[in-house]
Amino acid sequence: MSPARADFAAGRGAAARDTPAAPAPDEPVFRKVLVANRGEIAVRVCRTLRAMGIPSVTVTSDADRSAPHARAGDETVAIGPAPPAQSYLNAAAILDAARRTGAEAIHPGYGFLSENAAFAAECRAAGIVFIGPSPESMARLGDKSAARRTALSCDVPVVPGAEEIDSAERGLVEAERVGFPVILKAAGGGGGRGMRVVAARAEIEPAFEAARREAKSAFGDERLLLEKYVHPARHIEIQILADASDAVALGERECSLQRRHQKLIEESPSVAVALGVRSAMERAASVLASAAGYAGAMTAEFLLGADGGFYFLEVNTRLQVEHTVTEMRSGLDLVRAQILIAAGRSLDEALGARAPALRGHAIEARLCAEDPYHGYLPQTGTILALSWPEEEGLRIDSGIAEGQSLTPHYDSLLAKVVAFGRDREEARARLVRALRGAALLGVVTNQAFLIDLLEDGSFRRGETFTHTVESREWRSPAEVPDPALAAVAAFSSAPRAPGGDDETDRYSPWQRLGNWGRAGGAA
Amino acid sequence: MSRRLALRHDGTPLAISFERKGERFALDLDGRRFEADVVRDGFWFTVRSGGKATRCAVARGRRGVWVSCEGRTYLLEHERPEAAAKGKSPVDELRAPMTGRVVQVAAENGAAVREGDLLVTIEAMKMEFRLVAPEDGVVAEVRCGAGERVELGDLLVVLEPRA
Repeated sequence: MSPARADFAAGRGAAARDTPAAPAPDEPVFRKVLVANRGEIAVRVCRTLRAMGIPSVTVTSDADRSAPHARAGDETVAIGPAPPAQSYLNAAAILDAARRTGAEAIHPGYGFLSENAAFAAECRAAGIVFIGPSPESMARLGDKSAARRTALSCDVPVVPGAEEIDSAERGLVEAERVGFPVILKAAGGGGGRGMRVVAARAEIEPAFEAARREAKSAFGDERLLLEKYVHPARHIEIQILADASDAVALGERECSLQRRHQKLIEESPSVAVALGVRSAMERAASVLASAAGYAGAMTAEFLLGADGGFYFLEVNTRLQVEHTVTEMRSGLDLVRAQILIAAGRSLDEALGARAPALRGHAIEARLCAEDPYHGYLPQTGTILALSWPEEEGLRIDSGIAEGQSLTPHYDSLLAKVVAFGRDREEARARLVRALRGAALLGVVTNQAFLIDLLEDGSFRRGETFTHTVESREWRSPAEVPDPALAAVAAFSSAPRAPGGDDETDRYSPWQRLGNWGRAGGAA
Repeated sequence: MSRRLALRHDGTPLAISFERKGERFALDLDGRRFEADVVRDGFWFTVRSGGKATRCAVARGRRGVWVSCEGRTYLLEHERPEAAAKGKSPVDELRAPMTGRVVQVAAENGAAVREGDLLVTIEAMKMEFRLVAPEDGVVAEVRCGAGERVELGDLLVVLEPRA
């Protein structure tokens, strides 16, 4: 249901007002688009819609009334209480908001409803364009086991293994078939419990018994499966853009640095991906997209072993958090491409005049409200003060503002700090500089931890693996407070001279904040 | 005249005393002495000490004063004299480590528990946190229920350690 161009002539004048300096915006492909998400990604999608001359609608839960994304679009609709199930996952409320505001399409961002085939089908039934793949493509690639079957049928390598390991003897047969080391996993579980790495023949029997016991007690299900153990492994993913007839691969992103299976730092290119491996991975990802008749932005994730062998993991049928890294290297706006493809435009139109060429190096760090020195515990609070640095080659996608309260209802991602460089070291140094130059007060974040990761010798050497972050004890920087810290604390609490003749203090924030020193200084 | 501050950072007491003359500070931080010039420029403070300049930002919140220097952020809380003097409590007060929702209460009043046993599971930002018994003991009091919202620091379970 790609709308005709002529329908939109009337809306252009108003939209062009917002981008007077930019070249003439595209003929708007939709009259209005609703952004069914929150935080940085909602803000980021609105930015592209504005540049395309398309009016935008954001949706907000009761907890997000004053959040930046509530102001990022041209209008906003309250869709329900704070818990996601009643707001950002509430398909009926979101479709209703789209109908009431006259939105012709919905951009789902990532998370929430973005990979929900039923929601995509509901949009279609309601005559609203879902900016993403068809529900059919989503079903073929979004479900892990369906995707694995699709991959096998396309000769895309998957981690070799076997299901239904019901005895140590059967485990041994399968282990010898795929080659040691192998890992035994609980078929019904996750989170690392019921897992045993087996390095050699002799270990299989005790490992089998232990894994089965653990699986039974942790999940009430003693079924085991066996896979080749890829270790050390890197997480490499390929960005795909596709339309109904064609697909183009936009290189890889390495996302090995993770904690609790969530990514922290992503970069492109990967130091570990050789030319031949890259083209093989790109080919595999394109084949998957074509096999599913995929249209839109897609990511295929792979594990890369030390020997250069790679194995398909899963497909993300949506925009990724770290799409920014690819944008920095390609100069493309992937959200714009998604919108154009969803409107029925060809891949060539979505890519623009130039053939996509990747240059330089880009690294992204995810700034999150969590305490990396205490089990990555999520943190809440109020953002008291916030300042971002500015620099050429630096991009900050943020969904936060001063005065905002962070509630426990949503993901801990606050902002993405992305640096571009001609080479990896230039990008790395710029990113570290940016993180050092940012200040976020009032909530504990992983800011210092990100700096430590990026400054660590292992990162500088490109030794980044999926186990790197969690296999080491990272020291809290809190142990030795900086002298400057004490000086500022002292400054902040120094008594003002009677009569207020101290000019520095009169205009300091401490005037406004009250004399903090008085209570604490009386010890 | 020297002023003293009794602060706490990341659970550790931090004693600061200082004298101030205009921008110039003479400081004593847990026995380490140094001098610093502190100048404010809008949002930022510049601290010059020992030939090194550091940019910092400061804000006061409900929990204390936040200081951010070169990408590292510190929360300085006031040391409460009674807390410091109290010493080891005869019971373990298990408090919410974060604001969130209680998804499961495994602890039962009067139940004997072993170190590491699950007492309460809290969820926030799509993550679960398992609160476990820090030592062997008996559950003296359960102060939360499944589905309830809890704030950081709320008392959830009181545990009497085994004698």
